Amino acid sequence: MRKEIRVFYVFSIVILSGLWEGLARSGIFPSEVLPPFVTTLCGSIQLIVADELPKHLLASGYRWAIGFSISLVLSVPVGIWMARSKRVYHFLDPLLTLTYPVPKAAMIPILMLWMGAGDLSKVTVIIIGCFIPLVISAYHGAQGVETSLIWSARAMGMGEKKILFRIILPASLPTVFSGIRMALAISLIVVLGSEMIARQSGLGYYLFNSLEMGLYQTTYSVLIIISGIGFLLDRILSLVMKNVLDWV
Amino acid sequence: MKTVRAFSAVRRILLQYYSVFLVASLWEIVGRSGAIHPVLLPPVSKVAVRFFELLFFDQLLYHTGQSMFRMWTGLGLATLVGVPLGIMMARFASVRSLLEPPLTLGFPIPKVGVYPVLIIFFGVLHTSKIMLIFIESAFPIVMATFHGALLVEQRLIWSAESMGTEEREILWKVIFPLTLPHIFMGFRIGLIVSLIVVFLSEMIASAEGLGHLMMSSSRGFRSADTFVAIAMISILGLLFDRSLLSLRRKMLKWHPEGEHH
Amino acid sequence: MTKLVVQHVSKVYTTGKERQEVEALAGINLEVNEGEFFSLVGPSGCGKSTLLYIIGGFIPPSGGKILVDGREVSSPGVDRGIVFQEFALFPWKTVIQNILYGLEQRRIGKEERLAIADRYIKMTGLRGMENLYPKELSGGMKQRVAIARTLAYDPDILLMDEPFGSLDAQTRVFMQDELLRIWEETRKTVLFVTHSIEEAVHLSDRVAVFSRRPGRINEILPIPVSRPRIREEEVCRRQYIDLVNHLWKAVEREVKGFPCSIKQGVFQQTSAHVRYAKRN
Repeated sequence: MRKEIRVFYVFSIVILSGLWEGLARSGIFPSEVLPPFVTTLCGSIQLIVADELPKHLLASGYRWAIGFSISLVLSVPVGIWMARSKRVYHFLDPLLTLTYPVPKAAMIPILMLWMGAGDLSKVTVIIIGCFIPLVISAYHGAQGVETSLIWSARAMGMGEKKILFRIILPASLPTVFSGIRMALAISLIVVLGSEMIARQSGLGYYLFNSLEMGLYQTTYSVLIIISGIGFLLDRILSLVMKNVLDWV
Repeated sequence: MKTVRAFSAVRRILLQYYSVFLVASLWEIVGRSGAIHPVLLPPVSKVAVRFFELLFFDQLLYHTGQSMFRMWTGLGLATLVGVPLGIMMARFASVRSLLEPPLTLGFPIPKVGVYPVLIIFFGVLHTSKIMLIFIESAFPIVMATFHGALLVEQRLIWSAESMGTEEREILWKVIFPLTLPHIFMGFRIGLIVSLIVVFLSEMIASAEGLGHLMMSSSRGFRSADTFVAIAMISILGLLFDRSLLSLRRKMLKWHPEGEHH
Repeated sequence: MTKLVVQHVSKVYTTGKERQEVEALAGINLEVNEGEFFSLVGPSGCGKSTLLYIIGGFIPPSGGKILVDGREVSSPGVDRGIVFQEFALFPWKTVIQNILYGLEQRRIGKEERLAIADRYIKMTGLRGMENLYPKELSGGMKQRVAIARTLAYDPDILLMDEPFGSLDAQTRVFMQDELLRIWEETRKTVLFVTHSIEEAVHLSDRVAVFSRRPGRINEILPIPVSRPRIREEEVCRRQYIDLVNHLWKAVEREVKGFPCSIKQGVFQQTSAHVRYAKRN
């Protein structure tokens, strides 16, 4: 069954690319507006080995990595803390509930005002953007640990700290991981979006710049690269998650 | 009697949301103290005043209307198309094998990257944004509906069949009501996503709308206005989320599980 | 008068990655009379429910056919109602809305619908619970709703798949007598699958014993105990005890052969089979 599914996935990529190619070559749209798929793909490869793109790619990657990791390190402990301490929960919950439906993208202009349009504002936006989903999933993960597990550990004389690391942390990992996956998607949107707004450097800037300069083929090529990166990162995360969960 | 009840209600709110009031008060104090340049952090009171000024004497309502039009058109389309699609994916293996791969593949891709391409085709007015919102919110709605419809117990369908329900009726008489809890979940995510996307797209490239208002006031150093735009967005976001939750409670009163989040 | 004829019905499943063929039923022949209460007993998971689902028209047989009143049936229909072990109530509908469903499907007029529903609510002892949702009901009450719902639209045959299997032991005994009381009022033809020998003897006119997989009918035992069946008297009588013992031995013989395990309605032999074979 698994093999069949994998074949389907490859198949659908082939079909979609074929549709793109067909639509482009059919002449319905002028070739500047919709360049054929193969040409675009070649363009992507050319861009990767060229000079400009890797520079921007690195800039985006650097921001994203810092923002994402800091967010992880900050949010997950807070979430678990919320599950452990009623007072912390009581303090944070209303704040989180109020800000949950608010798009964190709204913070971008303010942060740019405060911190300039450079790296710091973007990293901060990523941290803010990922914070809430990570905290919520960490909270639910830690909350969901069966009380019977914790009680038996206590009965066996385990200290509180040990309980935290040996029992609660591993048991909440699956929920935390699904939160991380969602945070990954959000962080990518935030990085890309903020770069498209700030227009200084990074993949988002590069993408939008090519649009403004009328270099449409570059736009498509960069889109393919971005999609590929997004897909790859998600795959890597899933693999890491699977391995860690097995080990636990 | 009524004043006593009002009092205790107010007290309850204060106690529950004390952290919010704390933060708000801090904000006001810091804003007024002059420790931070007023352009960077205008005090809450100033923002509130400006809010009403823009609401009644300026274009806040207009911009809000633009944003909301885009968002709800995109979200509405995503729901109208996505829910039937999700249910059909669960019911018919052919539809599933056709759609599941591109949906699962496309999920982790930051679809905001498609925005420039949409601009190429549709320009910077409403259509490109509506399309972007549609694409972004369709994913969670279809996937949630699909996974929910898969969970429908075969025996329920069999019961309905033995009571004279025909094949086509089964979809909306049995599968749809059973999938409704999942549809709500998907719609909630779609709501949040579409909110993010509409403002993001307006901040990137737009001549009107709340996102544009934010950017232009920020560039013009009218930061109180920026905060007003943010406040409006927050209020809207909260309003929609709460309304959705209360609608969900009403429509799903038969559902055994407790409330979500 | 013959109501239901099962003619040489067989069922073969293909399953697993290697596309193994599993024979679930091998040539079942059965005739059920009108107004008869007919039970099916046998070892765990060896075809009884499958036969019921085939009769109901939910899964197609691999061979043979089902005749109701002389007509062949191959798909679900309002002449055969079904009650499941898991109740299968519509959770978004209240008790009365569930019961009304079959009547609505039959396009019965509003006033008449409500009258009929009311009758069955009274009959199944659900008075006062009409506007509750399934989530607010206990197991026994849920099963009453399921029974009321299926009886309301007046199917010719009632198919019951271990309907009391999800109930606790006390409720189960109580519901058995409730079912008999309701059945006496309507006297429908009932096909009843159960694991409980005592239950089968207490309720039925005839009991069929299934073999282990592939399922065949080993014997059909008539239960000549007079109705109404009063539990306290019955259990002490020699006749009842003999019947129960006879059926137990018949089933035991099958159980001690090849233990089957169920995997989503498909049957796989466990390694215990090999052990038994070696011991014998």
